[in-house]
Amino acid sequence: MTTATIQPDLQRPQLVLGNKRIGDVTEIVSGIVEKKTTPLWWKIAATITGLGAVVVLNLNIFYLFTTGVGVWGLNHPVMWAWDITNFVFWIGIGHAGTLISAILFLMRQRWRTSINRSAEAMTLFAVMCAGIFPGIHVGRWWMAWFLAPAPSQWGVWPNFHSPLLWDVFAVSTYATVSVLFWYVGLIPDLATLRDRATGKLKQFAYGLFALGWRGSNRHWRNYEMAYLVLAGISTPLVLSVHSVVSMDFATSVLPGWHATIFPPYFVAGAIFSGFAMVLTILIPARQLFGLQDLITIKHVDNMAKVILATGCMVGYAYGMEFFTAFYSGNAFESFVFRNRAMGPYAWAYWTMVTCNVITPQFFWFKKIRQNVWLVLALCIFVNVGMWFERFVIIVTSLHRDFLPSSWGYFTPTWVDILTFVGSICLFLHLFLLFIRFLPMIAMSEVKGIMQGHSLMNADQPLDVHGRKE
Amino acid sequence: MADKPEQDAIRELRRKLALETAPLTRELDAAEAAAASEPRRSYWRSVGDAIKSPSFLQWAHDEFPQLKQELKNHKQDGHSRRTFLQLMGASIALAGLGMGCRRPENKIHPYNKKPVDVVIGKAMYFATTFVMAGRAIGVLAETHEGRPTKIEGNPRHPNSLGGTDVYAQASLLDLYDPDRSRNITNKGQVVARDAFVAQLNSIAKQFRTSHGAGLAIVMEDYASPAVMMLLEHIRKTMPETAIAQYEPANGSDILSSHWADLSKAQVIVAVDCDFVLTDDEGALNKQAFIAGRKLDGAGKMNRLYVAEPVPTATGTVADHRLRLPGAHAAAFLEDLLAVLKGKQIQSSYAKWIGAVAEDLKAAGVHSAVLVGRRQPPAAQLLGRQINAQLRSEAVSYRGRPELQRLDQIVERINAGQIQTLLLLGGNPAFNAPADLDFAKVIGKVPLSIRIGTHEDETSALCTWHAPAAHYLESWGDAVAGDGTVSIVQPMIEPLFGGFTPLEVLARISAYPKTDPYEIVRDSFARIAGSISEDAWKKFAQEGVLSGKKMALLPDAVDYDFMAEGPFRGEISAKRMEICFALSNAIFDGRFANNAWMQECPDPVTKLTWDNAALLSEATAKAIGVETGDMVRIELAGRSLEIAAFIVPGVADWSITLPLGYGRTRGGVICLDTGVNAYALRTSRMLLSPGQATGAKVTPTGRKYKLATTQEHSAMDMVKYAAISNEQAAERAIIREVTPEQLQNDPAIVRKMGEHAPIRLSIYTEPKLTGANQWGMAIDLNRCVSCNACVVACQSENNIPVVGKDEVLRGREMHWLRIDRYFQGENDDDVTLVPQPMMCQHCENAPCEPVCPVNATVHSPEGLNEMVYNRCIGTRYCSNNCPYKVRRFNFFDWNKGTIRENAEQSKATRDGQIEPDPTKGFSRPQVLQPPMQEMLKMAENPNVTVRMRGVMEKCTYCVQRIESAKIAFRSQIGQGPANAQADGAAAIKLPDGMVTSACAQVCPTQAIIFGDKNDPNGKLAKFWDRNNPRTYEVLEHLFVKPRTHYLAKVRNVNPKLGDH
Repeated sequence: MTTATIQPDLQRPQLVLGNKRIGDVTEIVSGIVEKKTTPLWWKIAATITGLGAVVVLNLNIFYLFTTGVGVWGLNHPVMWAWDITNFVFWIGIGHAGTLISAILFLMRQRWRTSINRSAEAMTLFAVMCAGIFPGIHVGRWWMAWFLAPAPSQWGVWPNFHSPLLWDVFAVSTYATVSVLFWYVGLIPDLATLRDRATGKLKQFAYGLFALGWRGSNRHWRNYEMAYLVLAGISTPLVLSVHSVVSMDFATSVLPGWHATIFPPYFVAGAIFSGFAMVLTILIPARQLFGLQDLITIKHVDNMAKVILATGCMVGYAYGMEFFTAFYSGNAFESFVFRNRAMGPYAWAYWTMVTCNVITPQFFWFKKIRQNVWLVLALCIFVNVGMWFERFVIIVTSLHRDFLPSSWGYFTPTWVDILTFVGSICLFLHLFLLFIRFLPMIAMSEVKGIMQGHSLMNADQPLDVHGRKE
Repeated sequence: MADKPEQDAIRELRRKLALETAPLTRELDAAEAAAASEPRRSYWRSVGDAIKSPSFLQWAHDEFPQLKQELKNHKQDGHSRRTFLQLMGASIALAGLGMGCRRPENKIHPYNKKPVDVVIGKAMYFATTFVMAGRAIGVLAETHEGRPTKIEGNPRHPNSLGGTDVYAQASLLDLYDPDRSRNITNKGQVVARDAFVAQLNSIAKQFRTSHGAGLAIVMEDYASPAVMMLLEHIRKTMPETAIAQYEPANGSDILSSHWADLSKAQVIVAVDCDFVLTDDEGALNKQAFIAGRKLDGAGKMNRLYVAEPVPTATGTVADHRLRLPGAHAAAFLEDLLAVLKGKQIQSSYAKWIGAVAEDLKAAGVHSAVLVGRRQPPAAQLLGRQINAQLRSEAVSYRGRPELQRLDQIVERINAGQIQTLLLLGGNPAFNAPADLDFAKVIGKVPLSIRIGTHEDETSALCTWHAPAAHYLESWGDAVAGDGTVSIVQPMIEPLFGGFTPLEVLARISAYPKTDPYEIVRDSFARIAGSISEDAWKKFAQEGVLSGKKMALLPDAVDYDFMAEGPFRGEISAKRMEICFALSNAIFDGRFANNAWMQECPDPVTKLTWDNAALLSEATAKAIGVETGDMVRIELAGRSLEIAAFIVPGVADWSITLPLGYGRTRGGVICLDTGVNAYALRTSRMLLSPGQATGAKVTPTGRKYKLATTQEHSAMDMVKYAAISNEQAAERAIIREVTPEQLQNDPAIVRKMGEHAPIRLSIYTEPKLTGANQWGMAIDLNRCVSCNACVVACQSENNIPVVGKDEVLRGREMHWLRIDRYFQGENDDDVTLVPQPMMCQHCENAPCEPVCPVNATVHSPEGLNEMVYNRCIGTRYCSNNCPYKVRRFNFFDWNKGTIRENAEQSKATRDGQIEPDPTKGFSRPQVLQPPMQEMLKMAENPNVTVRMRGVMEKCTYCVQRIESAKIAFRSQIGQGPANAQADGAAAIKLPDGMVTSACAQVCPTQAIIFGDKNDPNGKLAKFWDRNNPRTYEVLEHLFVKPRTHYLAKVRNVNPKLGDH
């Protein structure tokens, strides 16, 4: 290694701090899973979110299923509200994981390694939450299978013109690929856990899912290739899924929905919200598990920059929507946007603008980017703002459309609210389970980007699992 | 035939039995039918004997073991399947066996679609007459297997001409109202029918000797020659009998009423007169008025001036509308008369009066001045003098029958002169003038007898109550304002054994006949001068006596009533006036328990399920309230609390209270709806101008939720209305021109709004290959926003009612709604435009491509079809519908109806059950019982009842199109086999064979349905885009709607400016 010849200023910052050796990474990450005693905070959080996910969510869905969609606050102009808002919100959250693991991988962004595992897990859980809503929001949920292109004696097929059907395919593809990608990435680490496991059950369980991984050269070669291929498949999905979701709106005739800017605008928004959610979750996790050396301030800084960039894109889209409406000279278009900013939902619109356009501007300042608690607070604002963005798009466009006679106003019921709360609980609960039972940092990948001296510093050679030979 | 007493006896026995063992009734019916058809006396007599003994019940149990369960069910829920059958009355199966189970005993004759025999599934139409407050509308009742399901207009009747008003449409639901009175009661105890009949007979005996002294009869206005005949009989045999007719709708009811033939009028001035809706004399008014709009042919368009305190349906069609407080109406008319006589006047309305007078003078005999019934006699007499001055040929007056007034009866009761009071129909304890205190007065009479459809406020105070028969269960007759006589025929045996007024009057006067059928035939013989069976059959078949009209009562004016001055009541912000208006929905309160009417949005306010104090913005400011704030109104020592509702175009310092709400008894639907405004209305207010002034109105600080179907968020209503009206104008949803504008630039209508698209598609559009291409045209110039189409659609298409809570959430289900837009800068020149809006059946329907499951598709005939079975309820179609005409079943409305809610809330209030904490959010549907059997009978069997979770919308009455195709095939001799070989598309229905329910009912023919491609059809010339008035709503979207609108034309008087 010739690091000595590079001037200190030009040296890339260390991605793993604290003079860690390879073995230390394994110890730290596996230690979280292997620890005999579960932290108290985890128990409390898992209980609360578990109750929310199992009791609150299910009871509300049960009530909805047995009673009718009327238990929500929907009405005649506003046929979609929190249901589809939540769906788009959760789908958007998922985008950060795929972006980090696929696009950043292809672009050789090595800093992704310490966050990609949890971001991908988050993607999965977000897609699971998202998947709930289209399924339960239909009036006759027991007939929802009509959406599947199942051949039947009636000869009636789904309507392939409908963006809702595109959604079905886009989201199910996305979910499948995300699961595969995440799982393939997990295999070497599962093998590590298997090898380190002390109990029979753990050995068996981790062993089962490690698919007989032995770390041979051929295994690694196949693994790298599979990972690369999956990254290649996932990359267009980052762009396509939210583009398709945006077409639910863009292909309609409704002013406020009917806009060609929607696909890129939605993708940018999705990445924006996804990164914010990753930080919202990882900053506390990093602190609680003492992972500051693996998920460094540099990582936080980088992600804040992504949030800043996508936030600016979103802000641009907001402005451009207004410009288009004004420039079109179309009375219906311009009214919708005037109504958004000054109508009865102005509070929601300005909440959205404040959270999504103003908040990320703080990330121009390095001091703020490097203060994790400030970053956390700002990210929570972004999460709120992005939920409101979907709410604003859906509800404010619907509630006052073409004929003033049919205008209305939407107010959520407690079922609307509790169902959303339940989905948040489900998301958090799944994440809590994930960090307790699976390695939340991709050990094998992190090791691959560790600077040479980390290996050199070793007093004696260690095997790949960090054990002394 | 068994003789009469025997039949009576068996009826009586059946009723007794029905009280305990309703399910057994059918067996007895069979017995009765058998007894009636054959002299098998021993059989029915033995049944008769047996039912008195408990052993009969035991025998029935043993003989018909299946009855056990039925009896048990009956006890539990009151409505078993068997009860349903019993209620259905005419079971077709039994009819087939020749047993005639509870069919009407006397023959009625089908109208023009007389089938050779009954064909199950085929509707039959019978002529009858709907009478309300003395106004008769000839109707045809559509019956399916013996149950009426829809009311249509009788084209032969002058008040119908094929259409009906909204009330006739809603009257069907009253027949099946589960809250109808079912029992005869004496002091609250259920008694047998024979006891009641004996009571009536004893009255006859008792008062014959006293010549009727001590007997008083208060009845509603049945407009029935047969009733009049019986009253004559009473006057002859018991001349001292005090008889009064009371209709709150008729105001003071002192003067004769007017009958306007507006086809003869060029200039019409309506002063506080809603002649197209609540003051309607019948369709003739509307039809003639609308025909006089003369837009599609040669001739000068008539001009309508309306001066009124609150916008009404009539106000919406006015060419000029003046905000005139009710208290100024008489003075206004006095001034108008003075100007016509060439005198100078001092009036704030001078400009308006001047212009109107000039126009009236120019029109001369072709003028009409109409004064509303709610105006005092003085105003009406002034109107009459103006018509006399103008020698108007359009307005004629007819006398009222020589009867006493309600206050005269009350005087006698208070003087202790009345021993027996008979109350036929009406509901005077609820709606009599407040100063009469009629509720207390009833208690002063030793014996009071009430015949009413419901056990209402009046029944509760009477000694006796007996159920009245609904008009669809009755024999009777009626006379229209022009003297046309029509028949009232029963479609179904009385469901609860109700009495007709004829039977009751006949019994108490010992008329030789008591069977209403016989009485009607007597009356018919008198009028027609013929007792021939053929003449009677023709009368029954056509519904109308052709070739002969009844002589109208001579017009007799009693000028004494106008002696009291002054004509003008002074009003100000401190001394407000109160106007009492009939509700556009529930009329005088008689439809308060009718869920269709409660949910029928008011044409002006769009309010449902409530009344409110209608006031102008200035008035609201003066009081310090907003829409939804409760106010306390004190007037002449009486007071009430009611929610305020700001309506543009209301006269300042004038508050209008719709009547009929705030019922306290008479069913579960009518409870908790609105406030009883009769509580403030006194006789003085009805009799003299300006008496309802000096009201003190103060805010109470409380809020009230008002459920409107437009402006769902009523809080920012004024601001909202401003935005919405500005938007409506900018969007050219409503297009309105003057005749001159249209003449100068025939393309003016087309040029309004967003620039129209080049009508080219980038897609190859699928060809619509059907032989007929259905379309609709809606003429805004003809629409008077009377709501008849809304309720007709509801009745035809089994549209559920959702209740106030759900209307508040914006979930009303009407497939056809009437949008209402205000126009004008300030309150003074506010005009309203109604716009019926339903599925537009777009050729490029935006709802179709977005449905993921192909549940909404296009038919080859151009219908946008909704496949309920396929719909999963994503609701995307509704989101993408620019007209927002799709309706979603948020709950299982047909399972859990509004009724259960109402029952529950009543039970809660009565302390029977604990309050339900979920109420106010949503209803616990899981446990809801099925729809009440009785209400099911009102459903159209040809239309699917939708379940929860599916979308629904206007179908252009596809069931009618298909029925017409079937009928046409058999007409041209094309059997089903041929039809199949040729394919359905080969059948081309000729013009006029089918029309939608809304088009059929429309009394002004504002809705035209037909084949748009048929150049000779009735639709084509209206639908054709070359018609200078035709336009598409939201044309720029290029959805190619199949429903076209015709622009409204206001015949503006240049002297009065724009409006």
